[in-house]
Amino acid sequence: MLFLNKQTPIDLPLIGVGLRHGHYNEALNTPANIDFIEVHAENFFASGGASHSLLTDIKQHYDISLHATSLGLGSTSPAPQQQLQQLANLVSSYQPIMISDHACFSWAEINSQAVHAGDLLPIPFNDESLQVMVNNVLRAQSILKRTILVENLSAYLTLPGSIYTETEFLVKLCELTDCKLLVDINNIVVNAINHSLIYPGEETVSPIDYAKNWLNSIPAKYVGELHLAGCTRVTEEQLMIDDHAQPVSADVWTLYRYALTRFDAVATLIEWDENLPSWQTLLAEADKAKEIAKAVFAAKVEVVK
Amino acid sequence: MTLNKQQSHLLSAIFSQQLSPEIDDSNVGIENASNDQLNQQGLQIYQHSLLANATRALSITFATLASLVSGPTFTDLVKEYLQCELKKQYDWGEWGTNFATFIAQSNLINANLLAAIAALDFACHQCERAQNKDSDLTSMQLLSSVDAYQLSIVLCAGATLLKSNFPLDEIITEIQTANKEKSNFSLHDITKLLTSFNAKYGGDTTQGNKQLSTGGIAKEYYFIVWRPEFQAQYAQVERVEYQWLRFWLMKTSSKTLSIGQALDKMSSKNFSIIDWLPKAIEQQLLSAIKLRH
Repeated sequence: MLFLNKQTPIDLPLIGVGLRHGHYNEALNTPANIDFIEVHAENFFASGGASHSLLTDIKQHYDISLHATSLGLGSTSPAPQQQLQQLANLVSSYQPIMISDHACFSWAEINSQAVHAGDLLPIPFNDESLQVMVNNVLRAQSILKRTILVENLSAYLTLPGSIYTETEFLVKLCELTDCKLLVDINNIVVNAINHSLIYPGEETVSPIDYAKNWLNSIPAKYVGELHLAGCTRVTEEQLMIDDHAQPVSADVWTLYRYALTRFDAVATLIEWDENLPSWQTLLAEADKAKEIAKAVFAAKVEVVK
Repeated sequence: MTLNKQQSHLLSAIFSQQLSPEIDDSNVGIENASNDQLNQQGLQIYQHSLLANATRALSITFATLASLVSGPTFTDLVKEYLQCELKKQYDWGEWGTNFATFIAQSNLINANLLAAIAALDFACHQCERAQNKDSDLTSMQLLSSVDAYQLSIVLCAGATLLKSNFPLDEIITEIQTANKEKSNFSLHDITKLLTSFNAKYGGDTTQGNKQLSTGGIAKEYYFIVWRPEFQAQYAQVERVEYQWLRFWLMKTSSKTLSIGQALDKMSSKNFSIIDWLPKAIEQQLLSAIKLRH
């Protein structure tokens, strides 16, 4: 079950930030006016120690969203039971308002041994990978006893064999598992920018148009959360890497307005992982998201009147 | 190519950390092979990401070691290590079990000493991740009212023992002190210090030399690693205390042995539980006294 409706009277989206190690003290000592904190589940997989004490303290100040990065929901070698159980233990202990992972693979066999990539690797969009992901998502939801959100990926190469577009694939996944989507707008923009490099023969589409087409292909009912981030600029010949090392880009803010108009008041998270700014700078990004949401929904009210 | 094979091939190519002819696009199953340079770029992104993540994870787990060698040296070590130990764990925090052994076998200057420091780092790291235990100080009262053959000892969360050929606590303290006292203390100075410790304890700067004390007999140093709160500590202990603590940490004996039986088993009569108990309580090494069932 998803708890996404803790909203203010004017139906603004919940706005949160990703909590990283460099901000632990400030998040606890100067609690911020944000709706939730997202933590990476794997940072709290240790059996005991300081991390659990920290998460308990965080929970007293903020609602928690649990973002996993290791399940590899598109892996043909499924995640070990213990891994899912550790996640289930966290869910049971901290009652997150959302649980998410990615539309990627992370587990595969090398020399007949299951190996974990430690990364989010791309999958082709076809029936075989859909079935694998459906099985893995259903298994995860059964063990966690919760609906999960599945995030679209930024990918730097394309595995052959796709017969669906990414959005067709994700929509089918939602239809077959009742999961929801965590739409990472920056990932769409990164893929849009890289698209013209990976497929040089294809017609060039602006990142904004590419992303709007992407967002238009997803029914609003399947979207449970939005991620916003920025990344480091690269030269025209280089692939852009989704490093979460910069403020949210102008393109992503533009698309955020568009996404809110299309998907309504969807929970929103600011991600910033590398080149970490001050806690106040990060919170200012969350404030900006809130201001945009206010403007979008005020405009919507105007239209309805 | 099946999805299963496709995934295995891509993962193998990433872990190989090479863009060699045998790991070309067709092997990996990457689409658009005509655009070779970009596919290589994409693969390289994943390879760099793996190396960066692995380096970051091991620099957290082996924090002391990482502070004693240069960044590029540490990254090179991790890159080589990735070829020896695939990541079978989903949690980066659990990866690195054999890193100390790997360093001991490497060509690194002062490899044996650095491997010993890595082993201590890993023990501390595991200690900090161990399941919490509630301490029960009121249970100490049992010591004055119940026969020692009916009682056993519970050590704190994460307590573990370590043997080394180096007095690691003294070596690390000396390097840290020198680092604090000299504003321009460099990695070169650290290496010189490590080399002098290697010489002092009977080894040299090349790999594979057994550290020997004077007279050619390997001297062993014993350490307890424990966690009073959340941060791991370590201290050198005498051999006799090591033997005593072992009783309470070995799976085979910790649940069955009584304090009385453990004292009877001590080979040396130089151990005094009367002296050890208050020290262990003060250090928060002792978590509880339990009645045996």
